[in-house]
Amino acid sequence: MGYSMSLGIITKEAGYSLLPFRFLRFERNEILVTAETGEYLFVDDGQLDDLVNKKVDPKGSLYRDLLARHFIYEPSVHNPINEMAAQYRSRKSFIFGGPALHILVVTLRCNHTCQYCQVSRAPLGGSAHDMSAEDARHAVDRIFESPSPVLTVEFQGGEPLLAFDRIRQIVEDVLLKNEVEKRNIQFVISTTLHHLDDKILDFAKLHKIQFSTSVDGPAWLHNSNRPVPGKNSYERTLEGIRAIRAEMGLEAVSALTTLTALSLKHPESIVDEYIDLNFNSISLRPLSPYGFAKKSSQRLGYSTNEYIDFYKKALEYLITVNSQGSFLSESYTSLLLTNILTPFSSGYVDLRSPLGAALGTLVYNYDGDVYPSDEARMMLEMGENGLRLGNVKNSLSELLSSPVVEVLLSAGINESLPGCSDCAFLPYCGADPIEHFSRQGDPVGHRSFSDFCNRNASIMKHLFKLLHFGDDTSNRVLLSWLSRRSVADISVTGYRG
Amino acid sequence: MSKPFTLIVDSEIYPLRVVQRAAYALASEFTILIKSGDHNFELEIVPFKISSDKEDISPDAVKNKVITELNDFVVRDRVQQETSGIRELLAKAALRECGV
Repeated sequence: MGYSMSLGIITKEAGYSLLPFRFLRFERNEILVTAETGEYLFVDDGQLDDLVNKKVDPKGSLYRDLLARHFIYEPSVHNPINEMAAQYRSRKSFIFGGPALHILVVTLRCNHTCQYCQVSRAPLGGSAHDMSAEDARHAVDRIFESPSPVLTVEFQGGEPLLAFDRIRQIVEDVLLKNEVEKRNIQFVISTTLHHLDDKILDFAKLHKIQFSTSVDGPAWLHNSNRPVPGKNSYERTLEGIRAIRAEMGLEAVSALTTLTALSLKHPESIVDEYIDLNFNSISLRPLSPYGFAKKSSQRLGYSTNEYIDFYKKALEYLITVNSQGSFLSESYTSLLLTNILTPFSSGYVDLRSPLGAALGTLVYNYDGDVYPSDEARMMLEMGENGLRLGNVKNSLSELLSSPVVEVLLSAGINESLPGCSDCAFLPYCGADPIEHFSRQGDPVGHRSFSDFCNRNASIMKHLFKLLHFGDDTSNRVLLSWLSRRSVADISVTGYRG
Repeated sequence: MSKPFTLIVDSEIYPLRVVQRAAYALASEFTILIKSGDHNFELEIVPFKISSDKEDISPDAVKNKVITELNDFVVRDRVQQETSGIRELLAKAALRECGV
Protein backbone atom coordinates (compact mmCIF):
# COMPACT_ATOMS: atom_id res chain seq x y z
CA MET A 1 0.00 0.00 0.00
CA GLY A 2 1.45 3.38 -0.95
CA TYR A 3 0.91 6.74 0.61
CA SER A 4 -0.06 9.83 -1.32
CA MET A 5 1.94 13.01 -1.18
CA SER A 6 -0.86 15.53 -1.57
CA LEU A 7 0.59 17.99 0.86
CA GLY A 8 0.52 21.28 -1.00
CA ILE A 9 4.27 21.57 -1.20
CA ILE A 10 5.59 24.68 -2.91
CA THR A 11 7.65 23.67 -5.92
CA LYS A 12 7.99 26.92 -7.90
CA GLU A 13 9.04 26.04 -11.44
CA ALA A 14 11.75 23.61 -10.27
CA GLY A 15 11.40 19.94 -11.06
CA TYR A 16 12.12 18.92 -7.50
CA SER A 17 10.64 19.36 -4.07
CA LEU A 18 12.38 19.29 -0.74
CA LEU A 19 12.28 16.41 1.68
CA PRO A 20 12.90 17.09 5.37
CA PHE A 21 16.53 17.52 6.33
CA ARG A 22 18.69 19.05 9.02
CA PHE A 23 22.13 20.61 8.81
CA LEU A 24 25.19 21.56 10.84
CA ARG A 25 28.14 23.75 9.97
CA PHE A 26 31.63 22.31 10.11
CA GLU A 27 34.84 24.17 9.48
CA ARG A 28 36.15 25.03 6.01
CA ASN A 29 32.70 26.05 4.72
CA GLU A 30 31.53 22.45 4.87
CA ILE A 31 27.97 21.80 5.96
CA LEU A 32 26.70 18.39 6.99
CA VAL A 33 23.16 17.77 5.82
CA THR A 34 21.28 14.75 7.13
CA ALA A 35 18.06 13.33 5.77
CA GLU A 36 15.19 11.90 7.77
CA THR A 37 16.37 8.45 6.73
CA GLY A 38 19.82 9.05 8.19
CA GLU A 39 21.55 9.46 4.84
CA TYR A 40 24.00 12.31 4.74
CA LEU A 41 26.00 14.57 2.48
CA PHE A 42 28.47 17.42 2.82
CA VAL A 43 27.68 20.61 0.90
CA ASP A 44 28.97 24.16 0.99
CA ASP A 45 27.09 27.40 1.63
CA GLY A 46 26.37 27.97 -2.04
CA GLN A 47 25.06 24.44 -2.52
CA LEU A 48 22.81 24.71 0.53
CA ASP A 49 21.45 27.96 -0.80
CA ASP A 50 20.82 26.38 -4.23
CA LEU A 51 19.17 23.37 -2.62
CA VAL A 52 16.69 25.41 -0.64
CA ASN A 53 16.04 27.83 -3.50
CA LYS A 54 15.45 25.05 -6.03
CA LYS A 55 18.44 26.01 -8.15
CA VAL A 56 20.39 22.78 -8.13
CA ASP A 57 21.33 21.79 -11.68
CA PRO A 58 19.44 18.58 -12.49
CA LYS A 59 22.27 17.46 -14.73
CA GLY A 60 24.93 17.68 -12.02
CA SER A 61 26.24 15.08 -9.59
CA LEU A 62 24.96 17.04 -6.59
CA TYR A 63 21.39 16.69 -7.87
CA ARG A 64 21.83 12.95 -8.30
CA ASP A 65 23.26 12.63 -4.80
CA LEU A 66 20.47 14.71 -3.28
CA LEU A 67 17.86 12.62 -5.06
CA ALA A 68 19.45 9.29 -4.22
CA ARG A 69 19.88 10.18 -0.56
CA HIS A 70 16.38 11.53 -0.09
CA PHE A 71 16.97 15.23 0.30
CA ILE A 72 14.80 16.01 -2.70
CA TYR A 73 12.27 14.21 -4.82
CA GLU A 74 10.61 14.73 -8.18
CA PRO A 75 6.84 14.77 -7.64
CA SER A 76 6.07 14.14 -11.29
CA VAL A 77 8.40 11.14 -11.44
CA HIS A 78 8.50 9.20 -8.22
CA ASN A 79 6.94 9.03 -4.76
CA PRO A 80 9.77 8.18 -2.37
CA ILE A 81 7.69 7.68 0.75
CA ASN A 82 7.55 3.88 0.64
CA GLU A 83 11.29 3.39 0.29
CA MET A 84 11.97 6.08 2.89
CA ALA A 85 9.48 4.43 5.20
CA ALA A 86 11.33 1.14 4.79
CA GLN A 87 14.59 2.78 5.80
CA TYR A 88 12.95 4.64 8.65
CA ARG A 89 11.41 1.42 9.86
CA SER A 90 14.79 -0.31 9.83
CA ARG A 91 16.27 2.46 11.86
CA LYS A 92 13.45 2.24 14.38
CA SER A 93 13.06 -1.52 14.32
CA PHE A 94 13.85 -1.77 18.01
CA ILE A 95 10.39 -0.32 18.74
CA PHE A 96 8.66 -3.49 17.63
CA GLY A 97 10.37 -5.88 19.97
CA GLY A 98 9.54 -4.70 23.44
CA PRO A 99 12.04 -4.93 26.28
CA ALA A 100 14.88 -7.13 25.11
CA LEU A 101 17.43 -6.44 27.84
CA HIS A 102 16.51 -7.67 31.29
CA ILE A 103 18.93 -6.82 34.08
CA LEU A 104 18.66 -8.72 37.33
CA VAL A 105 20.40 -7.27 40.35
CA VAL A 106 20.79 -10.49 42.28
CA THR A 107 22.67 -8.95 45.20
CA LEU A 108 24.10 -5.69 46.48
CA ARG A 109 26.94 -7.46 48.27
CA CYS A 110 30.40 -6.63 46.97
CA ASN A 111 33.97 -6.91 48.17
CA HIS A 112 35.15 -3.80 46.32
CA THR A 113 34.90 -0.20 47.48
CA CYS A 114 35.21 1.55 44.14
CA GLN A 115 34.87 5.25 44.68
CA TYR A 116 33.14 5.79 41.42
CA CYS A 117 30.66 3.01 42.03
CA GLN A 118 27.33 3.87 40.55
CA VAL A 119 25.40 1.44 42.69
CA SER A 120 24.78 0.84 46.35
CA ARG A 121 26.81 -1.92 47.88
CA ALA A 122 26.30 -4.05 50.95
CA PRO A 123 28.74 -5.99 53.16
CA LEU A 124 29.71 -9.48 52.13
CA GLY A 125 27.98 -11.36 54.89
CA GLY A 126 24.29 -12.24 55.05
CA SER A 127 21.60 -12.38 52.43
CA ALA A 128 19.49 -9.39 53.37
CA HIS A 129 20.55 -7.71 50.16
CA ASP A 130 20.06 -10.68 47.90
CA MET A 131 17.15 -11.19 45.52
CA SER A 132 14.68 -13.71 46.92
CA ALA A 133 13.88 -16.93 45.12
CA GLU A 134 10.26 -15.85 44.80
CA ASP A 135 11.14 -12.50 43.24
CA ALA A 136 13.49 -14.29 40.86
CA ARG A 137 10.63 -16.53 39.71
CA HIS A 138 8.43 -13.50 39.09
CA ALA A 139 11.25 -11.81 37.16
CA VAL A 140 11.45 -14.80 34.83
CA ASP A 141 7.71 -14.50 34.21
CA ARG A 142 8.17 -10.81 33.38
CA ILE A 143 11.00 -11.54 30.96
CA PHE A 144 8.85 -13.83 28.87
CA GLU A 145 5.96 -11.38 28.81
CA SER A 146 8.11 -9.28 26.50
CA PRO A 147 7.38 -10.14 22.86
CA SER A 148 11.01 -9.73 21.84
CA PRO A 149 12.29 -12.79 19.97
CA VAL A 150 15.79 -12.02 21.26
CA LEU A 151 16.31 -11.64 24.99
CA THR A 152 19.43 -10.75 26.94
CA VAL A 153 19.39 -11.66 30.59
CA GLU A 154 22.15 -9.81 32.39
CA PHE A 155 23.14 -10.38 35.99
CA GLN A 156 24.49 -7.42 37.94
CA GLY A 157 25.14 -6.42 41.52
CA GLY A 158 27.03 -5.54 43.76
CA GLU A 159 29.00 -8.59 42.81
CA PRO A 160 26.52 -11.07 41.27
CA LEU A 161 28.74 -14.13 41.70
CA LEU A 162 28.23 -13.77 45.46
CA ALA A 163 24.63 -14.85 44.78
CA PHE A 164 25.45 -17.56 42.29
CA ASP A 165 22.70 -19.87 43.52
CA ARG A 166 20.19 -17.23 42.48
CA ILE A 167 21.83 -16.91 39.07
CA ARG A 168 21.65 -20.65 38.66
CA GLN A 169 17.99 -20.71 39.60
CA ILE A 170 17.14 -17.96 37.13
CA VAL A 171 19.12 -19.47 34.24
CA GLU A 172 17.49 -22.85 34.78
CA ASP A 173 14.02 -21.35 35.04
CA VAL A 174 14.56 -19.32 31.87
CA LEU A 175 15.83 -22.31 29.92
CA LEU A 176 12.93 -24.44 31.08
CA LYS A 177 10.40 -21.84 30.01
CA ASN A 178 12.23 -21.33 26.76
CA GLU A 179 11.65 -24.92 25.72
CA VAL A 180 8.15 -23.71 24.92
CA GLU A 181 8.89 -20.06 24.12
CA LYS A 182 11.78 -20.74 21.75
CA ARG A 183 13.39 -17.28 22.01
CA ASN A 184 17.00 -16.51 21.26
CA ILE A 185 18.47 -15.99 24.73
CA GLN A 186 21.85 -14.65 25.78
CA PHE A 187 23.02 -14.67 29.36
CA VAL A 188 25.65 -12.24 30.62
CA ILE A 189 27.19 -11.85 34.05
CA SER A 190 28.76 -8.47 34.87
CA THR A 191 31.35 -9.28 37.47
CA THR A 192 34.78 -8.52 38.89
CA LEU A 193 35.51 -12.27 38.51
CA HIS A 194 37.00 -12.34 41.99
CA HIS A 195 34.57 -15.01 43.11
CA LEU A 196 34.74 -17.17 40.03
CA ASP A 197 35.29 -20.85 40.78
CA ASP A 198 35.16 -24.12 38.87
CA LYS A 199 31.53 -24.75 39.73
CA ILE A 200 30.52 -21.38 38.27
CA LEU A 201 32.74 -21.82 35.25
CA ASP A 202 31.32 -25.28 34.48
CA PHE A 203 27.80 -23.91 34.70
CA ALA A 204 28.67 -20.94 32.48
CA LYS A 205 30.29 -23.21 29.93
CA LEU A 206 27.29 -25.52 29.87
CA HIS A 207 24.87 -22.67 29.24
CA LYS A 208 27.15 -20.47 27.13
CA ILE A 209 26.99 -17.60 29.60
CA GLN A 210 29.10 -14.61 28.64
CA PHE A 211 31.09 -12.58 31.14
CA SER A 212 31.59 -8.85 31.22
CA THR A 213 34.22 -7.49 33.56
CA SER A 214 36.08 -4.27 34.27
CA VAL A 215 39.68 -3.58 33.35
CA ASP A 216 40.43 0.08 33.91
CA GLY A 217 43.94 -0.07 32.50
CA PRO A 218 47.34 -1.28 33.68
CA ALA A 219 47.55 -2.78 37.16
CA TRP A 220 48.57 0.43 38.94
CA LEU A 221 45.61 2.34 37.46
CA HIS A 222 43.08 -0.44 37.93
CA ASN A 223 44.08 -1.03 41.54
CA SER A 224 44.02 2.68 42.26
CA ASN A 225 40.44 2.91 40.96
CA ARG A 226 39.24 -0.31 42.56
CA PRO A 227 40.50 -0.82 46.07
CA VAL A 228 40.14 -4.21 47.71
CA PRO A 229 41.70 -5.35 51.00
CA GLY A 230 44.51 -7.29 49.29
CA LYS A 231 45.23 -4.41 46.87
CA ASN A 232 45.17 -6.98 44.11
CA SER A 233 41.96 -6.27 42.24
CA TYR A 234 43.72 -6.29 38.87
CA GLU A 235 45.55 -9.57 39.49
CA ARG A 236 42.42 -11.37 40.63
CA THR A 237 40.41 -10.10 37.69
CA LEU A 238 43.09 -11.27 35.30
CA GLU A 239 43.10 -14.66 36.94
CA GLY A 240 39.39 -14.87 36.22
CA ILE A 241 39.83 -13.75 32.61
CA ARG A 242 42.47 -16.43 32.02
CA ALA A 243 40.32 -19.13 33.59
CA ILE A 244 37.31 -18.23 31.42
CA ARG A 245 39.35 -18.08 28.25
CA ALA A 246 40.99 -21.42 28.98
CA GLU A 247 37.57 -23.07 29.33
CA MET A 248 35.35 -21.08 27.02
CA GLY A 249 37.52 -19.22 24.53
CA LEU A 250 38.66 -15.67 24.00
CA GLU A 251 35.24 -14.28 23.14
CA ALA A 252 33.54 -15.48 26.32
CA VAL A 253 34.71 -12.51 28.35
CA SER A 254 34.67 -8.83 27.44
CA ALA A 255 35.88 -5.86 29.43
CA LEU A 256 34.91 -2.26 30.03
CA THR A 257 36.87 0.63 31.45
CA THR A 258 35.58 3.23 33.79
CA LEU A 259 37.48 6.44 33.45
CA THR A 260 38.53 8.58 36.35
CA ALA A 261 40.44 11.87 36.19
CA LEU A 262 43.61 9.80 36.61
CA SER A 263 42.62 7.58 33.67
CA LEU A 264 42.27 10.58 31.40
CA LYS A 265 46.00 11.25 31.62
CA HIS A 266 46.86 7.83 30.22
CA PRO A 267 44.93 7.00 27.06
CA GLU A 268 47.79 5.11 25.42
CA SER A 269 48.50 3.01 28.50
CA ILE A 270 44.88 1.95 28.70
CA VAL A 271 44.76 0.99 25.03
CA ASP A 272 48.08 -0.85 25.30
CA GLU A 273 46.76 -2.83 28.25
CA TYR A 274 43.77 -4.03 26.25
CA ILE A 275 45.98 -5.06 23.38
CA ASP A 276 48.35 -6.90 25.72
CA LEU A 277 45.37 -8.71 27.21
CA ASN A 278 44.14 -9.73 23.75
CA PHE A 279 40.78 -8.03 23.88
CA ASN A 280 39.25 -7.05 20.58
CA SER A 281 37.10 -4.27 21.88
CA ILE A 282 37.44 -1.52 24.46
CA SER A 283 34.75 0.71 25.86
CA LEU A 284 36.03 4.14 26.86
CA ARG A 285 32.98 5.22 28.78
CA PRO A 286 32.98 8.32 30.97
CA LEU A 287 31.85 8.45 34.58
CA SER A 288 28.11 8.80 34.85
CA PRO A 289 26.26 11.14 37.18
CA TYR A 290 24.81 8.37 39.35
CA GLY A 291 25.33 6.78 42.68
CA PHE A 292 28.66 7.11 44.41
CA ALA A 293 30.13 8.46 41.19
CA LYS A 294 28.04 11.57 41.57
CA LYS A 295 28.94 11.97 45.24
CA SER A 296 32.64 11.65 44.42
CA SER A 297 32.47 13.76 41.31
CA GLN A 298 34.47 16.62 42.76
CA ARG A 299 37.44 14.36 43.43
CA LEU A 300 37.17 11.84 40.63
CA GLY A 301 35.40 13.77 37.98
CA TYR A 302 36.20 15.76 34.93
CA SER A 303 34.29 17.91 32.54
CA THR A 304 32.74 16.65 29.37
CA ASN A 305 35.28 18.67 27.39
CA GLU A 306 38.14 16.97 29.24
CA TYR A 307 36.60 13.60 28.43
CA ILE A 308 36.25 14.54 24.75
CA ASP A 309 39.94 15.50 24.61
CA PHE A 310 40.82 12.13 26.07
CA TYR A 311 38.50 10.34 23.68
CA LYS A 312 40.08 11.99 20.64
CA LYS A 313 43.59 11.11 21.81
CA ALA A 314 42.60 7.54 22.59
CA LEU A 315 40.85 7.20 19.24
CA GLU A 316 43.86 8.54 17.38
CA TYR A 317 46.05 6.03 19.15
CA LEU A 318 43.58 3.24 18.51
CA ILE A 319 43.59 4.05 14.81
CA THR A 320 47.38 3.94 14.81
CA VAL A 321 47.63 0.57 16.53
CA ASN A 322 44.88 -0.87 14.36
CA SER A 323 46.63 0.28 11.22
CA GLN A 324 49.73 -1.52 12.47
CA GLY A 325 47.94 -4.84 12.65
CA SER A 326 46.20 -5.08 16.04
CA PHE A 327 42.41 -5.29 16.06
CA LEU A 328 40.91 -3.33 18.92
CA SER A 329 37.69 -1.46 18.28
CA GLU A 330 36.18 1.18 20.52
CA SER A 331 32.67 -0.02 21.21
CA TYR A 332 30.84 3.31 21.44
CA THR A 333 32.50 4.46 18.24
CA SER A 334 31.45 1.23 16.57
CA LEU A 335 27.83 1.63 17.50
CA LEU A 336 27.82 5.25 16.33
CA LEU A 337 29.31 4.11 13.03
CA THR A 338 26.50 1.59 12.74
CA ASN A 339 24.01 4.40 13.23
CA ILE A 340 25.78 6.71 10.78
CA LEU A 341 26.88 4.38 8.01
CA THR A 342 24.15 1.77 7.93
CA PRO A 343 20.37 1.98 7.69
CA PHE A 344 20.10 0.06 10.93
CA SER A 345 20.10 1.19 14.49
CA SER A 346 22.73 -0.21 16.78
CA GLY A 347 19.89 -0.81 19.20
CA TYR A 348 21.96 0.57 22.06
CA VAL A 349 19.42 1.34 24.74
CA ASP A 350 21.07 4.57 25.91
CA LEU A 351 21.15 6.08 22.44
CA ARG A 352 17.84 5.63 20.76
CA SER A 353 14.64 7.53 20.09
CA PRO A 354 12.15 6.60 21.47
CA LEU A 355 14.25 6.02 24.54
CA GLY A 356 15.51 2.62 25.53
CA ALA A 357 14.64 2.86 29.22
CA ALA A 358 11.55 0.76 29.96
CA LEU A 359 10.78 0.22 26.28
CA GLY A 360 14.00 -1.66 25.67
CA THR A 361 15.28 -2.49 29.14
CA LEU A 362 13.93 -3.46 32.51
CA VAL A 363 15.90 -3.73 35.73
CA TYR A 364 14.73 -6.02 38.50
CA ASN A 365 16.31 -4.87 41.74
CA TYR A 366 17.30 -7.24 44.55
CA ASP A 367 14.30 -6.07 46.62
CA GLY A 368 11.74 -6.81 43.91
CA ASP A 369 11.35 -3.26 42.66
CA VAL A 370 11.50 -2.73 38.91
CA TYR A 371 13.15 0.21 37.17
CA PRO A 372 13.28 1.37 33.56
CA SER A 373 17.07 1.34 33.42
CA ASP A 374 20.16 0.66 35.44
CA GLU A 375 20.69 4.40 35.80
CA ALA A 376 17.21 4.84 37.24
CA ARG A 377 18.05 2.21 39.85
CA MET A 378 21.34 3.94 40.62
CA MET A 379 19.45 7.12 41.40
CA LEU A 380 18.20 5.37 44.53
CA GLU A 381 21.66 6.02 45.94
CA MET A 382 20.97 9.70 45.46
CA GLY A 383 17.69 9.45 47.32
CA GLU A 384 15.60 9.48 44.18
CA ASN A 385 13.08 6.65 44.00
CA GLY A 386 10.65 8.44 41.73
CA LEU A 387 11.63 6.35 38.72
CA ARG A 388 10.42 3.07 40.16
CA LEU A 389 7.94 1.41 37.76
CA GLY A 390 6.46 -1.01 40.24
CA ASN A 391 7.14 -4.41 41.69
CA VAL A 392 8.27 -7.60 40.01
CA LYS A 393 4.90 -9.13 40.89
CA ASN A 394 3.16 -6.61 38.62
CA SER A 395 2.62 -7.79 35.08
CA LEU A 396 4.75 -6.33 32.29
CA SER A 397 1.73 -4.52 31.00
CA GLU A 398 1.19 -2.90 34.41
CA LEU A 399 4.86 -1.94 34.67
CA LEU A 400 4.87 -0.31 31.26
CA SER A 401 1.64 1.53 32.02
CA SER A 402 3.30 3.25 34.95
CA PRO A 403 3.05 7.06 34.99
CA VAL A 404 6.86 7.03 35.07
CA VAL A 405 6.88 5.59 31.55
CA GLU A 406 4.57 8.34 30.39
CA VAL A 407 6.91 11.00 31.77
CA LEU A 408 9.93 9.31 30.23
CA LEU A 409 8.21 9.02 26.86
CA SER A 410 7.24 12.68 26.90
CA ALA A 411 10.94 13.50 27.21
CA GLY A 412 12.32 10.50 25.37
CA ILE A 413 11.59 11.13 21.71
CA ASN A 414 14.27 13.43 20.41
CA GLU A 415 12.29 14.30 17.28
CA SER A 416 10.00 16.30 19.55
CA LEU A 417 12.54 17.91 21.87
CA PRO A 418 13.77 21.50 21.65
CA GLY A 419 17.32 21.57 20.38
CA CYS A 420 17.31 17.92 19.32
CA SER A 421 14.62 18.43 16.70
CA ASP A 422 16.92 20.84 14.82
CA CYS A 423 20.10 18.83 15.28
CA ALA A 424 21.76 17.27 12.25
CA PHE A 425 22.85 14.29 14.37
CA LEU A 426 19.28 13.41 15.31
CA PRO A 427 18.98 10.28 13.13
CA TYR A 428 22.02 8.78 14.89
CA CYS A 429 21.30 9.91 18.40
CA GLY A 430 18.80 9.40 21.16
CA ALA A 431 17.19 10.95 24.15
CA ASP A 432 18.22 10.13 27.70
CA PRO A 433 15.67 11.68 30.02
CA ILE A 434 17.11 9.87 33.01
CA GLU A 435 20.56 11.38 32.56
CA HIS A 436 18.97 14.81 32.08
CA PHE A 437 16.89 14.28 35.17
CA SER A 438 20.00 13.34 37.12
CA ARG A 439 22.12 16.24 35.89
CA GLN A 440 19.59 19.02 35.37
CA GLY A 441 16.70 17.96 37.55
CA ASP A 442 14.43 17.80 34.53
CA PRO A 443 13.94 14.94 32.06
CA VAL A 444 14.12 17.29 29.05
CA GLY A 445 16.58 19.76 30.45
CA HIS A 446 18.09 22.51 28.36
CA ARG A 447 19.87 20.89 25.43
CA SER A 448 22.40 23.70 25.09
CA PHE A 449 23.69 22.86 28.56
CA SER A 450 23.34 19.13 28.22
CA ASP A 451 26.40 16.99 28.87
CA PHE A 452 24.68 14.19 26.99
CA CYS A 453 24.28 16.41 23.92
CA ASN A 454 27.74 17.92 24.18
CA ARG A 455 29.35 14.52 24.53
CA ASN A 456 27.48 12.82 21.71
CA ALA A 457 27.58 15.78 19.33
CA SER A 458 31.32 16.21 19.92
CA ILE A 459 32.04 12.55 19.28
CA MET A 460 29.84 12.41 16.20
CA LYS A 461 31.30 15.61 14.81
CA HIS A 462 34.75 14.12 15.29
CA LEU A 463 33.75 10.91 13.55
CA PHE A 464 32.24 12.78 10.63
CA LYS A 465 35.47 14.76 10.32
CA LEU A 466 37.45 11.53 10.21
CA LEU A 467 35.09 10.01 7.67
CA HIS A 468 34.94 13.06 5.43
CA PHE A 469 38.29 14.78 5.88
CA GLY A 470 40.39 12.01 7.32
CA ASP A 471 42.91 9.91 5.50
CA ASP A 472 42.35 6.46 4.03
CA THR A 473 43.95 4.77 7.00
CA SER A 474 41.50 6.27 9.45
CA ASN A 475 38.59 5.41 7.21
CA ARG A 476 39.71 1.84 6.75
CA VAL A 477 40.19 1.33 10.46
CA LEU A 478 36.73 2.72 11.22
CA LEU A 479 35.17 0.54 8.54
CA SER A 480 37.03 -2.47 9.87
CA TRP A 481 35.34 -1.88 13.24
CA LEU A 482 31.96 -1.56 11.58
CA SER A 483 32.37 -4.75 9.62
CA ARG A 484 34.42 -6.56 12.29
CA ARG A 485 37.07 -7.46 9.79
CA SER A 486 40.77 -6.74 9.84
CA VAL A 487 42.03 -3.53 8.26
CA ALA A 488 43.88 -5.56 5.67
CA ASP A 489 40.52 -6.84 4.41
CA ILE A 490 39.18 -3.33 3.87
CA SER A 491 40.60 -2.41 0.49
CA VAL A 492 38.31 0.49 -0.35
CA THR A 493 36.83 3.06 1.94
CA GLY A 494 33.54 3.54 0.16
CA TYR A 495 32.01 6.92 -0.50
CA ARG A 496 33.09 9.84 1.58
CA GLY A 497 29.74 11.61 1.42
CA MET B 1 30.68 38.68 31.90
CA SER B 2 31.14 40.78 28.77
CA LYS B 3 29.09 43.88 27.96
CA PRO B 4 25.69 43.41 26.34
CA PHE B 5 24.92 44.78 22.95
CA THR B 6 21.76 45.03 20.95
CA LEU B 7 20.93 43.65 17.55
CA ILE B 8 17.76 44.72 15.80
CA VAL B 9 16.29 42.30 13.28
CA ASP B 10 13.38 42.63 10.89
CA SER B 11 10.53 40.51 12.26
CA GLU B 12 9.27 39.69 8.79
CA ILE B 13 12.53 38.08 7.83
CA TYR B 14 13.22 36.69 11.29
CA PRO B 15 9.87 35.70 12.83
CA LEU B 16 9.65 35.07 16.55
CA ARG B 17 9.89 31.27 16.22
CA VAL B 18 13.20 31.67 14.37
CA VAL B 19 14.60 34.16 16.88
CA GLN B 20 13.59 31.96 19.81
CA ARG B 21 15.16 28.84 18.35
CA ALA B 22 18.37 30.69 17.59
CA ALA B 23 18.46 32.06 21.14
CA TYR B 24 17.92 28.54 22.50
CA ALA B 25 20.72 27.13 20.37
CA LEU B 26 23.12 29.86 21.50
CA ALA B 27 22.13 29.71 25.17
CA SER B 28 25.42 28.19 26.30
CA GLU B 29 27.35 31.12 24.77
CA PHE B 30 24.98 34.08 25.07
CA THR B 31 22.00 35.17 27.06
CA ILE B 32 19.60 36.75 24.60
CA LEU B 33 16.70 38.87 25.76
CA ILE B 34 14.11 39.26 23.01
CA LYS B 35 12.07 42.45 22.95
CA SER B 36 9.29 43.05 20.50
CA GLY B 37 9.40 46.32 18.57
CA ASP B 38 7.65 47.86 15.63
CA HIS B 39 8.11 45.28 12.83
CA ASN B 40 11.32 44.18 14.47
CA PHE B 41 12.84 42.35 17.39
CA GLU B 42 15.45 43.88 19.62
CA LEU B 43 17.92 41.27 20.81
CA GLU B 44 19.88 42.21 23.89
CA ILE B 45 22.86 39.88 23.78
CA VAL B 46 25.18 39.19 26.67
CA PRO B 47 28.06 36.84 25.91
CA PHE B 48 29.31 34.48 28.62
CA LYS B 49 32.94 34.63 29.47
CA ILE B 50 33.57 30.94 30.17
CA SER B 51 36.90 31.19 31.98
CA SER B 52 39.22 33.93 33.13
CA ASP B 53 41.90 33.02 30.61
CA LYS B 54 39.60 33.49 27.64
CA GLU B 55 39.51 36.83 25.85
CA ASP B 56 36.27 38.74 25.76
CA ILE B 57 34.58 38.02 22.46
CA SER B 58 34.50 41.11 20.25
CA PRO B 59 31.15 42.73 19.37
CA ASP B 60 31.74 41.94 15.69
CA ALA B 61 32.33 38.29 16.48
CA VAL B 62 29.17 38.17 18.58
CA LYS B 63 27.18 39.84 15.85
CA ASN B 64 28.53 37.44 13.22
CA LYS B 65 27.76 34.42 15.30
CA VAL B 66 24.23 35.51 16.15
CA ILE B 67 23.41 36.55 12.60
CA THR B 68 24.77 33.27 11.22
CA GLU B 69 22.62 31.35 13.68
CA LEU B 70 19.56 33.44 12.83
CA ASN B 71 20.08 32.91 9.11
CA ASP B 72 20.54 29.18 9.62
CA PHE B 73 17.28 29.01 11.52
CA VAL B 74 15.54 30.93 8.75
CA VAL B 75 16.68 28.16 6.40
CA ARG B 76 15.54 25.47 8.84
CA ASP B 77 12.20 27.19 9.21
CA ARG B 78 11.78 27.35 5.47
CA VAL B 79 12.62 23.67 5.05
CA GLN B 80 10.17 22.85 7.82
CA GLN B 81 7.40 24.91 6.18
CA GLU B 82 7.99 23.38 2.77
CA THR B 83 8.14 19.82 4.04
CA SER B 84 5.39 20.16 6.59
CA GLY B 85 3.60 16.88 7.17
CA ILE B 86 6.16 14.67 5.46
CA ARG B 87 7.86 13.59 8.69
CA GLU B 88 4.53 12.60 10.16
CA LEU B 89 3.56 10.75 6.99
CA LEU B 90 6.86 8.91 7.04
CA ALA B 91 6.49 7.91 10.67
CA LYS B 92 2.94 6.68 10.05
CA ALA B 93 4.00 4.69 7.01
CA ALA B 94 6.95 3.14 8.82
CA LEU B 95 5.39 2.50 12.20
CA ARG B 96 1.82 1.58 11.34
CA GLU B 97 1.91 -1.53 13.48
CA CYS B 98 2.67 0.55 16.55
CA GLY B 99 -0.62 2.37 16.15
CA VAL B 100 1.08 5.60 15.03
